Amino acid sequence: MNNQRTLAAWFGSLKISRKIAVVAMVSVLATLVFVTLALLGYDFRSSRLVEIERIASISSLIRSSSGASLRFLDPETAEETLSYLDQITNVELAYLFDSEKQLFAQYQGDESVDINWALLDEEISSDWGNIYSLQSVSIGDEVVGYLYLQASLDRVIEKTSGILLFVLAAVFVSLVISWFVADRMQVVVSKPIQQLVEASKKVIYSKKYDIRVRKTWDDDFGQLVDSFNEMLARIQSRDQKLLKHQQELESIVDDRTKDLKRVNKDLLVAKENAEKASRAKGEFLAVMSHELRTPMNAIVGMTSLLMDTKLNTEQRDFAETIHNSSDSLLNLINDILDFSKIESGKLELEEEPTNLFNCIEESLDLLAMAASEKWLNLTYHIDPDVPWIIHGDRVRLRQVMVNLLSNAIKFTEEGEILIKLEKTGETEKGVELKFSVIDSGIGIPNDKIGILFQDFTQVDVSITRQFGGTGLGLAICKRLVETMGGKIWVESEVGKGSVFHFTICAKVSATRWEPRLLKTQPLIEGRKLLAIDEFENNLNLIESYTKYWGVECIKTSDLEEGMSLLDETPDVSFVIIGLGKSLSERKVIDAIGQKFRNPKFSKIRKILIGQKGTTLSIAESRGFETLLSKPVRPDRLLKVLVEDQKPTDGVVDSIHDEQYYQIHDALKDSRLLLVEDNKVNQKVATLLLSRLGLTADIASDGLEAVEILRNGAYDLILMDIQMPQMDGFTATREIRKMDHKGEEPWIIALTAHATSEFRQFAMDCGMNSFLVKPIRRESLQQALLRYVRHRDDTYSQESKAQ
Amino acid sequence: MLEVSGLKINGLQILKRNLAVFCGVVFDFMLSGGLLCAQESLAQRENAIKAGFLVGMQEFVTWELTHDSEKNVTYATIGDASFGEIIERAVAAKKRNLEDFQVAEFTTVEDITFVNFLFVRDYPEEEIGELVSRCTELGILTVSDQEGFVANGGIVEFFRSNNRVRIRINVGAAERANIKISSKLLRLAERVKR
Repeated sequence: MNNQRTLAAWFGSLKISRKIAVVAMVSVLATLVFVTLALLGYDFRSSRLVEIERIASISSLIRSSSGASLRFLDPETAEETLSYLDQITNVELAYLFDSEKQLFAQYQGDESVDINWALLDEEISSDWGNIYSLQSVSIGDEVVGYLYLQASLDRVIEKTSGILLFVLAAVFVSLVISWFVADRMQVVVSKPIQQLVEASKKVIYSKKYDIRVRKTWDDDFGQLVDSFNEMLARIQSRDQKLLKHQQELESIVDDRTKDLKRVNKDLLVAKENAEKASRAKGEFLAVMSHELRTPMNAIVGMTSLLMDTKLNTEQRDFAETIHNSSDSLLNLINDILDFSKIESGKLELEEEPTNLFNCIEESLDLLAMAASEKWLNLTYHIDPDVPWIIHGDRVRLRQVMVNLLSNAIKFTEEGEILIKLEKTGETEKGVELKFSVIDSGIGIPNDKIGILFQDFTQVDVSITRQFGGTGLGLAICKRLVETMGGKIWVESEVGKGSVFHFTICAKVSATRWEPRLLKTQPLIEGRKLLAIDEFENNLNLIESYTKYWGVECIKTSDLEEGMSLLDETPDVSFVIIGLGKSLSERKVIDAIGQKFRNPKFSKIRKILIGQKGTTLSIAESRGFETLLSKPVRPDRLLKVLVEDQKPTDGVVDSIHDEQYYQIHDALKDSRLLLVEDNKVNQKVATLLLSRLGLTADIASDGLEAVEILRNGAYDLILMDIQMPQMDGFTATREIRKMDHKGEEPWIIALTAHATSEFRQFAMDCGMNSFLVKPIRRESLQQALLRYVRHRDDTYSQESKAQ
Repeated sequence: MLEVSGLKINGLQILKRNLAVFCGVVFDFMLSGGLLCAQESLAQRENAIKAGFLVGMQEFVTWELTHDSEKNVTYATIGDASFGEIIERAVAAKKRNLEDFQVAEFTTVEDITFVNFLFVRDYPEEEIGELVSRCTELGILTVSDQEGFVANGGIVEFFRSNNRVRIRINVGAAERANIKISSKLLRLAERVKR
């Protein structure tokens, strides 16, 4: 197989002239070999037959002469007769037997040969080397003896060998002649091909297409040569045309390049100038915003504190106005700061585990009050396949949602606003999530949708007057969403409402999350719950959770129908009624107040869901035990359903939410230190801590903090950065150098600028976390929660290790 | 197909042949030792050989005076009539039909009629000339084992040489009796021309 391949490769590599010669030679050789073999075979066969006949006739002669010797018992004569065989070259052996088959006379021509008894089955037989004959000797009818003859075929073999030698010589001569002839004849075939090959090589190496091949004959090769020449001619003509075009083009390009270079130079100068201006603008904005925020922080903080003091109605109104206005101004400044950050490319996103569920609820919470003022129903829906915890920037995500929600509230007079969250894709990098904010507001004309996300744009200038706003919100949203790997768009119909969609791409967090809210609750499993709400979405939200908890939800949007359902199903354990524009508190209480006085319903737990700010007041006296605010948060609803306790405070969730308990319970025995030089900020911070039921010692600069820490251990330190005597970074370094007997304190930096460089520097100094000023309740809670979780994780790891 | 199973010459057979030669030597010794019994047996054997030769000779002989070639070959004796019986046994050994066959017995020259072979034994030497001339006339092939038979004008004479029975043929006498003898036979015989 290998040899065959080698042979084929060798043949394939030969020139055409050699190939033709080889083909001719092989053909001649094959023919000659075949003819020679046939001839030799025939000759050998016929010669052998002749030899056999000769031996038969010799045998016949000897037998005829030996009859008398046998008859008259004269072996001498018989041997004399046999001795004549000496003259016959190839007879090697002759035995004469009498009729009793006893040896009578013998002739041994070749001493080395012995009788071959095995081959005596036939009268005359032969093999490749010998002829054997055994025939009877008769006189008349009477057999008087037998003659055995053995002759060699050497003569025949010699003759055949001679012929073979002669034929081989002839074959050799034939081959030489055929080689000579093929060599002369092949030129006719191979020469035109070789000429073509040579010409092709020349064309390839020289890239000159003016080469032509001379035609010798007008046969197939002649036509091939013609075609080849024609092809070269066409290529040559095309090349010439191309060259001409190329030269023309080059001159055009040269001209244009010169123009372009000039323009580019101008552009480069313009660009540099523009960039310089842009940078200056961005820097100015950043500095300005920062400078504006510091006094604003004081105004907001102090107004909060002011409102906590005893004020008469008028004073309270003034204080609230200041608080709201400064809040708006702060938001505006934040927007401008964000925008300038985005513009100058300084915006960086956090990558931390974010609970989407909490994020949406917090956003809704922030706007619940604004919605309740307009009697707007604020609700949400999260698809079951959405991962609850993702890696992302919770603050920025909430910012986008709050922005869209506040727009929706701003432009909606009645109806509801719904946030929908669904998973639209999954890749190796993570998931794609789609948020939709659906309102039933005034809608946006089609021709204005295009400019909606541009900077400083509102649909109508008159809107600014009516609704306020800088027109920066959506532009910021767009930039933020794009930074989060998504896009934002809007679908809207004038008079019917708008849907703002945005997507983000996020990694799913590996953080373990106990889906307590998605589990069956043994305490209430199998109970029945009657829900009455004018909004279908609210009912669906309640039903979607109660289904997980094992509670059967009977829902209706009509109050009267709800009452009759209550009569029909006496084993209802909970009644939830959502207040709304058409289902006002007064109406509800009038309609069902009477019914709930009936002792039959005394065991039913009655829950009212009101707008943010609603108090139990009259309702409480009519048998309602619990008031929740819209939108209903499942954790709060579950708490109400499961825990059989009546809230002491009229407003259940205004301050004391789940996070409050989580932080309060975890940190009430911890030692906290606030390091802050500004007295106002000290007050704001201690007040916010006290609202979480926590107290803190105060150090007025870094040096004092270090001294205090030398004398006693603290679990948590809130550390300002810019302070006289010793700044926050130095103080932190000093603290980290100390020998802490127990656990190292957790240090939270308080800063007005949370750039990534700052953050890195803070971490390098040994700080654990940071809090952006002005300090708000939510951000403080988040920072404290992060510490609590870290501590819990450390404990659980330690206990595991033990 | 020939019967070849008996055609075996091997060392044992060569030994047998040597043994036969040895036995022959012993036999000669016994003969010279004057054992009568052995002499008789030897004479019988020799007679059988001679009869065999006589019977076998017909294939090599042509009687030109006899035109009836289909007629059976005939034998006769003169002198010792007992040899006729020996001839009959030799013919029987060749599986010839004995019904058609008889060996005649002549006692005097005058009695002699045509036969193919006339075996002469114990016939007076002085009368042999007369017997021969009578037989020559009739074209009879005369055969004898009497010494000097050929010298006296007989055609075939059996004689002993090296303990073997040999044939002596008088070619002239055969010609005279118009009898042709095959060269194959003549090759074996000692030829004389008288």
